Amino acid sequence: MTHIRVVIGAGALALALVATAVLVGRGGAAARPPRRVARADHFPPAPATRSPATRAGIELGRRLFFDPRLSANDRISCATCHEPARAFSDGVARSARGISGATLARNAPGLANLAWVERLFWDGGAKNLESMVLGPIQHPDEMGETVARMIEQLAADPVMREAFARAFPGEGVTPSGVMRALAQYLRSLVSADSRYDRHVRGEAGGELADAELRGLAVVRAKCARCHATELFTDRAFHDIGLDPPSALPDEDPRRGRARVTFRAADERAFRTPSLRNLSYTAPYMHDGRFATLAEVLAHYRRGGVAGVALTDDEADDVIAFLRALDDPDFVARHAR
Amino acid sequence: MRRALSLIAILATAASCGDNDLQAEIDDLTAQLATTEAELAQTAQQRDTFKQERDALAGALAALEAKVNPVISLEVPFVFGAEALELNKAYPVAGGDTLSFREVRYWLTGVALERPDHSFVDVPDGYYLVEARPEQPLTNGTESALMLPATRREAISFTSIPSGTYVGIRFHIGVDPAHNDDLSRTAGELHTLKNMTSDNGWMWFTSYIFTKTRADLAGPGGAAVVSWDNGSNDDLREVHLAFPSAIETAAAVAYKVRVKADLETLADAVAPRQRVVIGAGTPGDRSLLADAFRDMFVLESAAAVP
Ligand code: HEC
Ligand code: HEC
Repeated sequence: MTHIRVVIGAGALALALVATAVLVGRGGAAARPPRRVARADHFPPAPATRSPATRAGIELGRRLFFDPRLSANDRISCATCHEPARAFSDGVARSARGISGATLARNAPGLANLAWVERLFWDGGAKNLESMVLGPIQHPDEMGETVARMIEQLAADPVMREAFARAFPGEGVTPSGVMRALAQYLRSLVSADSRYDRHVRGEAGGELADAELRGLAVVRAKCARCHATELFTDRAFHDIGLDPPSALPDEDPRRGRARVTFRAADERAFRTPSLRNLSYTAPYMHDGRFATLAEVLAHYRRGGVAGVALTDDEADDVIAFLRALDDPDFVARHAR
Repeated sequence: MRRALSLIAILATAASCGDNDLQAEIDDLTAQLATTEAELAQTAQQRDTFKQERDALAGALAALEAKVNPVISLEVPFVFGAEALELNKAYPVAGGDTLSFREVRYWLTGVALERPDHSFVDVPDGYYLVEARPEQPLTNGTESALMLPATRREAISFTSIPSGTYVGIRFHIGVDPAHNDDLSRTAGELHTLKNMTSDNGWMWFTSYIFTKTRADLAGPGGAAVVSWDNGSNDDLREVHLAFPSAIETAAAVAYKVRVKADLETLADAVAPRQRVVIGAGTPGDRSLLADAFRDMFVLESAAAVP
């Protein structure tokens, strides 16, 4: 079972392309009626990407993600701040694990279902996964590496040369290859196997308790304006009235989405995070200001621009339901 | 195609429907997957061979084109008023100030010649970096020990445009959104290791710097280092210039289109004393800078090289 899970979960999008390219003309596979094409087909359609994924590309991306040679001191990898066991977040409000030891401006979010996200980062400043990859690598407080040195080191390693050759035949070890492979790996991080997902698909293991079902109804009624679709995010930007707007004492409070758009209407707005895997990704919000889900709900219940009225019982039900959005298989599958 | 999809469907079915009776099917699928991967490796090898063949053909095509098509060069020399630009020379600007340029660079892209019916013939993969700058370390967030050698690049040439009558030229300052939004996409001279991506917070936009100007400003208001960058999709500009008279191009003949880039016009339009720093955080000034780059080009001549 495990093996097939890996194939479907980590490579559903990818495999579709690989298999389509390769299997034309092969016989013998079509014995049973199809039940569905991918596990995440209850999600909205993913936007098109330019670089098609391959298994070799995803595999190279996975190697790079865990490779500390992407940092200047060869000790920090992407996984330093995006730990698989925490659904690829790091458990602190704002990380100081980067090369300079300086505390970063934002909370490191969990990484899942990125194939559906078109504006990355809390303020949507990065346009796609390929291009954003150079951000952490070069950032003086994150990995502080130069692209040139990184390429030099990777190209000196025969194992890496081989992995690049498999992923991008005839291209050598290039910055573009690093970007595309990491992006392919990041897109392959599909989390769609929580108890809730099994419930939606009518599968075994998809039973929801009464409190969870009541919580689901509350979330649909009161939160889905922003935490929309089966992704539990509208992937848009909202000011939810956090006070103060930033935990950074010297940050311009107008930042948020407005840093990118320069529009007054986008001041203090951040991208709606998904509600999946919250048990692994505390603390919450763009600056990690809330340690628990109870604190998050207390914020909404105080009222204000995105206030949500909830009775105590409703709040308990919501939290119960949010736990049903945890995907332990996703976390286990990607652990090294 | 259909078979491929049904394999996936079966894999999905296997993964979703549960338990014991599946083990045999799983083994079967695992075996199929291994075959698939072997086939993929083979396909990859073929792709390699095709790529080599394509490159060889492209080389041959270029050689042939040079015989069949005219050889057209576009010269875009930097000048300051009547003089050719000298880096680090103090030129007078408004308000009794002087400006001496340390570095000027921009992406010249989307080159096309205009036919008499005002349609355009594009130069394929036309992404060029025009620059006047001294040696500098390759900086990608952090400085590296690698040096980019001093460069003065103010001309491009192409043989891909067929013979015919042409009445003007068009090009862009900056990079089109499709390439600007995806740094992993390579075309022409586009590359992330050219100090044209990551300075001054540009990584926030994960895109190319379109134009980059560094200069020393001196005068009654004091000394300052001018630093002008722009580069979001909104900053892309089109330059469209009519030839003084139509050129009739013929096979294997060389033609030269000379367009001067007058930094005096640029300095007048941007006013360095008022705008010492332009960058990611100053969208209004970035746009003004983009207009000023567009407007500094003056067509001097378009003719056969004698
Ligand atoms: C020092 C800690 C650190 C390291 C190392 C790090 N990241 Fe991050 N990552 C962060 C933080 C903090 C954010 C949030 C930044 C923001 O939104 O402004 C982030 C955001 C992201 C996002 C955006 C997710 C979203 O939902 O928008 C992706 C994708 C990502 N990182 C991938 C990577 C990759 C790939 C690497 C390795 C090349 C990496 N990170 C290395 C801390 C880190
Ligand atoms: C107006 C839109 C909106 C509504 C309504 C809304 N949210 Fe949010 N939610 C957001 C945004 C935007 C953020 C991120 C804010 C930030 O970090 O500055 C967020 C953050 C969260 C987080 C933190 C997630 C993380 O990974 O950090 C949780 C949990 C959450 N919301 C739950 C809820 C629940 C439960 C409801 C309904 C009771 C709700 N939200 C209603 C927009 C909304």
